[in-house]
Amino acid sequence: MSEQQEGSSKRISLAKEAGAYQRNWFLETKRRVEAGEPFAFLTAQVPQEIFRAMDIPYVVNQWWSSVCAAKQLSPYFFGLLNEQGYREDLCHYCSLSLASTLSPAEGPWGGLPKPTLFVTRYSCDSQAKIFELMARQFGGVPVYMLENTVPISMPERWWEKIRTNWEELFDPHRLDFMVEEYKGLIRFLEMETGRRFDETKFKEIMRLVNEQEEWNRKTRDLIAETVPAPVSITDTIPATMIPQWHRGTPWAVEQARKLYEQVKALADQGIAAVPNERLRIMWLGRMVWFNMGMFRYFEEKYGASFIWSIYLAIAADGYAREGGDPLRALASRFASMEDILHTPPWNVDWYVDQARQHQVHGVIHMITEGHNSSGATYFIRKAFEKAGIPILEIASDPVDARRWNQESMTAVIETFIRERLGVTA
Amino acid sequence: MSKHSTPNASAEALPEFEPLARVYRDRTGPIERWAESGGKVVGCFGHDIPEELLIAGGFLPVRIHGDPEHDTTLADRYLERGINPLMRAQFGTIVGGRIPHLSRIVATASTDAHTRLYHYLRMIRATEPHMPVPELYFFDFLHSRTRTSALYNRDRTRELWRAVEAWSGRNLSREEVAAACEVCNENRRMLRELDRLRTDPEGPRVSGTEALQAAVSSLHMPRQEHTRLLERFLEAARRRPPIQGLRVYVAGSPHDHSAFYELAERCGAVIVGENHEFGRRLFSRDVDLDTEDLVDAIVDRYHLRPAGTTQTGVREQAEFLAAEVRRTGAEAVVFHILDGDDAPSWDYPEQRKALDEMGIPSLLLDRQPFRPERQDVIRLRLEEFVRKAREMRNGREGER
Repeated sequence: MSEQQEGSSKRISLAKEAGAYQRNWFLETKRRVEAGEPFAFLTAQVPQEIFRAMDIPYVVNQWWSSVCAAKQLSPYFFGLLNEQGYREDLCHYCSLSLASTLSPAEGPWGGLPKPTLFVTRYSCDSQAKIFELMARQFGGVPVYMLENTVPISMPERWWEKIRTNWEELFDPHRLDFMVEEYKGLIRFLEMETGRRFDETKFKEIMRLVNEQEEWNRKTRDLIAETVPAPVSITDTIPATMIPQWHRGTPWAVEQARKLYEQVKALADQGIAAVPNERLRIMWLGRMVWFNMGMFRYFEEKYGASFIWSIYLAIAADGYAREGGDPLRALASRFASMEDILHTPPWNVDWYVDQARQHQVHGVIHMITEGHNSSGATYFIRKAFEKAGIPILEIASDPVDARRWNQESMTAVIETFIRERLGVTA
Repeated sequence: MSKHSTPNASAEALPEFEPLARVYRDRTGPIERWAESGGKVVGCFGHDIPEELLIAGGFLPVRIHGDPEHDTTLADRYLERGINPLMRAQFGTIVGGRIPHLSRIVATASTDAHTRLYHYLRMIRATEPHMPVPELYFFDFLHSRTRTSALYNRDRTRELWRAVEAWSGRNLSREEVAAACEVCNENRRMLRELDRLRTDPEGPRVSGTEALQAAVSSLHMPRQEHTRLLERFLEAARRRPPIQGLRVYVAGSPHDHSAFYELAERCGAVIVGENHEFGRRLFSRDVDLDTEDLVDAIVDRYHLRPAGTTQTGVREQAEFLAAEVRRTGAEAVVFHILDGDDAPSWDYPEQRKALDEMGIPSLLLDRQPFRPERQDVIRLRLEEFVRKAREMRNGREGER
């Protein structure tokens, strides 16, 4: 995470600790790759637990994008991509990593090591193309594509069932298919890297993920019920997301546990993220990774505490799976990612429930510009209006700082706070 | 639809084309006639739905299309700005209830937006029952050419077969489905013959505007009737002198209406092919009726034909375009890409490189609206491009 992000997080030590861990992990991974070990570049919809069970280090596209953006590198890298003839308004979140490979040494920490392979999923029309272009930048590295299936069932209150009764939430044919896809992926990885899939280790990873996400659930619930909130999303996002990218490791579990304990200690002492908390706000959608410091202004001026983001909430509710075949459980985890975040009514119902649980006064929905996956905006707006919770929609980009106007964005949010939430400075 | 569509200015207008043009202009006419005779209509949202099964079930399959004469205010209420204007227009057609007598819509994942909009339609049905969204069915057809996808597609196709039986209230025999496949095969054969006349080495006998309108009309009327009308037109077109013009291939986004084709052909081009869904993908491959299991044959037809730009990687699309340019004898390529249509934009730089290597000039018209707008600006760019491409061609011929 950037200095800007770290600087915004004074209440808990974990953000800084996680940032340092991440940096060391990247440098160590580079060293391992230089010594001849395999390295995979993935998208977030790919089952990372398989790679961990095979001891294949990996970086996730969205992860690397957020790091590049936080290091304020996105304008430079996107400029390089545009010079190559690619349109300026193509999906930035998924293409910043590609752009970073046009000048690899200038990437964070000296840039990505050369991947041994790329794996992505046909979760949008551009994924295959972006990964193919990126693989070509590294001299024609193999790309493995996973298919994407579409949910037919519309379960109610999935978050109450997904941990233990996950099998009933997903169309069986989708899980059957994804398990077959994963078997193919494992064989591909075995052949390409010479690494073996360790079933025992895989089961342990799945267990550790459950443990990690249980800590995240407790943290999320604690924040929801504590008024004023002990931490804000500038604390919880880095403290959650870096361990999420290292999901299923003892370090990640330990970080999740420490996050809970630090938040609990703050709550027990009555320490608030925003001492004069007057508003509890839900930040819906992706983070603006290049500008996480923006929240401080509203905290100080309006007593606005930004307490909810998808990052801790999805960790709390979306990942844990108990029982059943572990590969099938993993399939259900990754089947659910698109459904939970982008597909109505899965996302709509959950967001409203989360808002109620967190006692929020208003919602700011960051809609990713030019991206199909800012799913169900209308239905989300309608559901919040029906619930009597004011919602503001802003359109921007999670990683492209060129598309953010600090002055106008601040004005829009201030107007919302004053006129819809009724709080003045 | 465009009320003033005309074929290529340099092509002799054939009265035999008028019945097809009429369906293109008024796509509800055949639907009304079908419904009057007691038939049911199924909307197809996406371009990977095996219409053979719907026809076998006694339904008239019609493609959900965007109409440039309607604004998208109603659709805009539901859709994010990232949804491209073609999909926006198609969604507007559905939520505006503009296709009469739809008993249901079958949607498929032809593009990411089709899937997303299916979910939105489902939400509208669940929460806004006053809206004219008919019953929905999702046909989850995968595009990667792997065995796992092929098997998945077979299972989904069997489910669709059973669903059509339920909708029609009777079992569908192999013979009935085979007969429907033959109807569609015959229509595809006729569309291939049309394509052959477009790409005649002696010069195109069919304009791009006629070809697009003929292709579009095939998706809005009974296929046997379309085959008959098309056959009559092609007989007349064969006798026509070659159409003069720079042979241009259109790449990029799909075209639900022919306004751009008409404009390009008024500027001295004759469009000889396209890589969108109304080009070769529409009529490539037949359903092989010698196959023991018709589900195998149907899936193979849709799964193994040339892939659309949203369904493949960059290299495959660059190679496909290069092969298409050679096959059609195109002398130039125009990329017409709709605003927000990312997939062809990712393909473009590599396709452009491939064309440069072939010595084929190309023009990029990017971020285009769905409704014809800024036609004067586009016309000037097209005229200039056609003039320069002709000079290049003449220069090459002079060198020889």
